[in-house]
Amino acid sequence: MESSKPRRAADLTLTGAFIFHHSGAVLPLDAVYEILLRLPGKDLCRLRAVCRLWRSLLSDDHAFAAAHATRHRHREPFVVAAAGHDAERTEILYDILDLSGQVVKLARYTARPARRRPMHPASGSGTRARALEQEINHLTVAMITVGQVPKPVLEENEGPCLPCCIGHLGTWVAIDGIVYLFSSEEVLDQDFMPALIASFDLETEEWRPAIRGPLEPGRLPLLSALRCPPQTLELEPGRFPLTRRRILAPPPQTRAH
Amino acid sequence: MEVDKGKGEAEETRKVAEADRDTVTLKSSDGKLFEVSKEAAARLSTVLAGMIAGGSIDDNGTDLKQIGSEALENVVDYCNKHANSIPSAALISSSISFNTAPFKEPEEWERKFVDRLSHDALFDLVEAANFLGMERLLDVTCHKISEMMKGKSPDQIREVFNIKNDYTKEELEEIRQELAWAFYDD
Repeated sequence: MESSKPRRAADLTLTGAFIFHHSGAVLPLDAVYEILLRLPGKDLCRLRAVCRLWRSLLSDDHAFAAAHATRHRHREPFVVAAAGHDAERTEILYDILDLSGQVVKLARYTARPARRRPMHPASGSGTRARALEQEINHLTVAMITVGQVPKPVLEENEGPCLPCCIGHLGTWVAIDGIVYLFSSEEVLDQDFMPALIASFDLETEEWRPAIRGPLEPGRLPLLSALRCPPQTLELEPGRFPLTRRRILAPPPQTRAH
Repeated sequence: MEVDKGKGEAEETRKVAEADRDTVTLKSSDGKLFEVSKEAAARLSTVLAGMIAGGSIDDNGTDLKQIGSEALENVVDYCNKHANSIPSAALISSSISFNTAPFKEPEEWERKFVDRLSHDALFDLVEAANFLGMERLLDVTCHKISEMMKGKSPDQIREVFNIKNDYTKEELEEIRQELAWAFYDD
C-alpha cells in the first residue's frame, strides 16, 4: 500500500508556515506547491512580490525550481537574450525566453571576465573567449532556476551552426542552427516595439516569425543590441555570418589544423 | 441500487445491513452521511483505500471529521462521476508519475466539475482531496486554482488567497523594479 501522503512536501526547504487561507480553508503546502508548479515562469517571478515566503520558494528553492523545470521541459529550447546594461557594460540583464517569446526567467549578470580570468597573451582572444564562454555557460546554468537551456557543444559542432553561443554580449544567440537577435521596428518594418527578437534560420536562410522580446521600460538599452539590421550580419549562403566576429571560440588546442 | 449517487445526499434514513456491500458510507464533520462506490473510493483515495483494506470502515458512517458536508458531497460526486468516465488504466498511469510527468490536462467533465464551484468550495475541496490522498482530484483542483492565478497582480493574489503583505514599501518597490518585465502582460 502506498503512503497515504504521496506529495513531496519533504522536498521543500520551507515547511510548516507555507500555507494560505481563504475563508477558513487552509491550503496544505503540497497543494500550494502543486498550484505554483503549474504556472509559467513569468507569473512565478511576479508572484515573488506577494510575500516573503513566496519569494523564498520562487527564488531560492532548488527542489521547487528543479520540479518546475522538469514539468515544463517540453518548452525547450530557450533563448537567452540580454535586455540591457549600464554604460560600463558591467551589468547585463539576461532574459530567458522560450520560443513563443514567453519570458521564463530574468537573470542579472555582472560581467567582469577580464578581472577574473586574465587574457593569456599567447592564445589571445581564444582564451578570453573561452573564459567568457565558461562564465556565460556557468551563468546560464546557475541562474536558470526556472527552465533550461540546451547544453552548448561547441567543440563537436564548430562551423555554421553553433548550437548555443553568445556574441557581442546581448546582441544575438544561436540555438540549433537558428540565430535569434534583437531587432527593432526599423528592421522588421513593424509598428513601434521596444524590442523584438528576430530569428533567422541558417539552414534555409529564411527569416522566421519575430518573437516578442523583453520590455525594459526605464532602461536604456544598448543601441547596437536593439538596432541590429540583418544586412550588417553579412549573411552568406551556408556560412555562419558571425564566425569572424564571434567572441566565443574553441580553445586553441582543438584548432591545431 | 437506488441511491442517487450523483447528488450524494444525506442518507441518514438508509439502512445499511450487508457487510460486504459495494459502497462505503462516509460521515462529514457536520454529521451528514454520503455513500460512495467502494471501488471508486479505493481507487481514487489512498486514505480510503487504506481504511477499506484495514477494515476501519464503519458501516454506519466512517467519520471524516476534517471534511465539511459540502466538500464531502463534492468528493463523493467526483468519485461517482469518475467511476463512470475514465478507464482505470488511465488513472493508474497518471498516479504513478507524480513529480516528473507533464501535467495531465483535466478531462472535459472534470473541468466542468470544478468550474461550477465557488472559490470557497474549491478551496475546501483541495483541502479534502489532500486529506483523503486523492491525487487526481488534487491535480484537477490545483489546475483550476493555477488558472485563476494566471496573469494576476500580486495585489490580486493577496486578496484572493488572503495573504498578508509582509514587505516594506521599499522592498516591494525594489522587487518591482528588478522584475519590471514580469509585470507587463504579453
